[in-house]
Amino acid sequence: MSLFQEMSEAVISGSAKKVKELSEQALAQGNDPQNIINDGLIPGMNIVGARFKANEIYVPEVLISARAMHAGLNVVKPLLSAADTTNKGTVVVGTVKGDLHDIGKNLVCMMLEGAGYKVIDIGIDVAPEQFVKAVEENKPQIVGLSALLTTTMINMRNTIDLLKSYPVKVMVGGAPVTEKYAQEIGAHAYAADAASAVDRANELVAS
Amino acid sequence: MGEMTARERVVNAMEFKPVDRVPVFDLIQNIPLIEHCTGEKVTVKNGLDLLCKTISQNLDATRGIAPPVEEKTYTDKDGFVYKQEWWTTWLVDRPFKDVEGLQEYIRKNIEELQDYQPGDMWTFAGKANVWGQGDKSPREQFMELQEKLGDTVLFPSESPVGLDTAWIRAGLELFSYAYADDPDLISDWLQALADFEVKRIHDVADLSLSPVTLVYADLAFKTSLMFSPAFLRKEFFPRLKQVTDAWHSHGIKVIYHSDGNLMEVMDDFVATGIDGINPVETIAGMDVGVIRKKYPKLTMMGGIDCSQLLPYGTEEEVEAEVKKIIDQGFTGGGLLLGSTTEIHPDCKVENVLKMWDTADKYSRRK
Ligand code: B12
Repeated sequence: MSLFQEMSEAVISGSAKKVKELSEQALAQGNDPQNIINDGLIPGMNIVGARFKANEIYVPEVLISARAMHAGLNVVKPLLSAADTTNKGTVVVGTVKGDLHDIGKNLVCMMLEGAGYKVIDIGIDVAPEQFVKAVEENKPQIVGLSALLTTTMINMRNTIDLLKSYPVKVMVGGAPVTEKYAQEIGAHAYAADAASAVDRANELVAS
Repeated sequence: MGEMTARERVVNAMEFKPVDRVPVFDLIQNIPLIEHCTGEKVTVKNGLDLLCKTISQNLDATRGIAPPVEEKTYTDKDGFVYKQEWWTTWLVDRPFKDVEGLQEYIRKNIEELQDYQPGDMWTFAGKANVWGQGDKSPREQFMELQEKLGDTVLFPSESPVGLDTAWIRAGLELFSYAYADDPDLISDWLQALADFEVKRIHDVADLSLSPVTLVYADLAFKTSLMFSPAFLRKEFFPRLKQVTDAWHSHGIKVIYHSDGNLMEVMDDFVATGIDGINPVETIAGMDVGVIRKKYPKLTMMGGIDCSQLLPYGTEEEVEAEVKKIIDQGFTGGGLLLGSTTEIHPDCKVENVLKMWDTADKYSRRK
């Protein structure tokens, strides 16, 4: 098994210690930090996402894999020069106003990070104006809105209305949200789970 | 058949004995509904009375009656910060930020749990008096509420198995990391929570007060289980059985509550000896017809979707769904009809009234 394959495996099995050691080893062998991310860490997280989507693994396993991936990122990220950061894009993510559920949102953030996006998590109970402020500050390509309550879904619409004058794409999700509802409120994309959120984000930045 | 009391109806339905109509259960958290049913304006002062009046007029069984509280934020002795609104309490901050901090807290908490004091219960919101109010004993609080409720069956304080108490207090991230790093410590914590609950059950259980209780741990969501079946078989089902056995030893029936889709481990649930399941979240894929066929003696409580149908559906759709759920789930018993968890503020009043009215008329005819 190549070093990168081993790294992916360690991400999948959630061994933070091993991912850290392998990342250090890869650097010592002269590998480019960006390659370590793209060929070692991200492929591991991709598999984790696919397995989660297929109900083969569960939320704790995804969280543990994400922690392992971060252990690797922490080693290599400081060595990335601004120039060779081939960030796929920036995503601002938050749970809408009145809603405190954050587990789904956190998973989406981790998977996006695992796929190479810069993620700015602005937390829970986020008012439409706070989303606007975060967009002005961070100039993301995508804004992700999460809602778990029927009563707070309306705040997705309010947020989207306020974001209309900004050059960002809006992606929505959460248990009660449907493709149909997403279209009704003018969202650019909907995803039913965290792995699909990455697919939708890739489509949005490509379009 | 003559008109039964709510208690007779609930008990008979759960024992699959004859009933005059399907019993209705719910958790009411909807001010317009309360105002419609009582004709009075709800305030913090009269809220509890009006809520209980609405329940006693319309429901055979209820649970989790929360007295109105002002919105407030408070910090407990361990440094957990909670925000509280009328029907919701949630954790806004924790006294630890990493696995080591959590582990230290767990060790301390296990000691506290081993020092059980009558009257306390342990929820994700910490050590609480049963309904979170005053210094009255759980029994006194129960009697006071029951008086306001007439003959509607009140489930005694809800009974946590401990898994969601633990993961919500820890946060699912740190809970998962800590389990990966030191599974035995988490296992000990979950055991301490279950043992505490068993002691509490032997303290409060009283068949003359209430024939049914609700045991809970939220462990699923819309598409799947939150935890793997392997984890649940090791760390959860044996403890659920322990808690269920404790209630049963007092002759009290157990309805188990978890949101979400539980089908993957339904056999395990039934094997613990539970008498019923709630809320049968249909929108998450729980199918009343399938469950009835596969588990002919399991009572289902809930079944009417509160995510889409009650807030956004029409009265005709509600009527059709109630009839369908009764046809599929009510074999003369085995169903306590109600929303899939609670009648929350967004449920339309006319839809809720339609649900109750259809349940009454349609099941009497059957
Ligand atoms: C855990 C939980 C809680 C916990 C939250 C802990 C936390 N830190 O988040 C607590 C106990 C605090 C809680 C509180 C409440 N809850 Co709650 N809760 C749940 C539960 C059981 C699981 C939610 C969850 O974490 N799922 C796990 C994650 C992984 O799944 P997910 O969130 O769906 O996310 C996935 C996808 O939806 C998607 N996704 C999510 N966000 C995004 C964003 C984007 C951009 C994209 C693309 C995708 C995406 O990807 C994720 C990963 O695959 C659900 C049950 C259910 N059926 O969902 C109820 C549920 C959501 N809660 C509900 C209710 C009513 C409440 C309360 C009002 C209860 C009360 N009366 O106190 C309060 C509300 C507090 C508030 N104001 O927000 C109802 C909502 C009904 C409705 N449709 O309106 C549900 C459905 C339960 C029910 N059957 O009644 N809850």
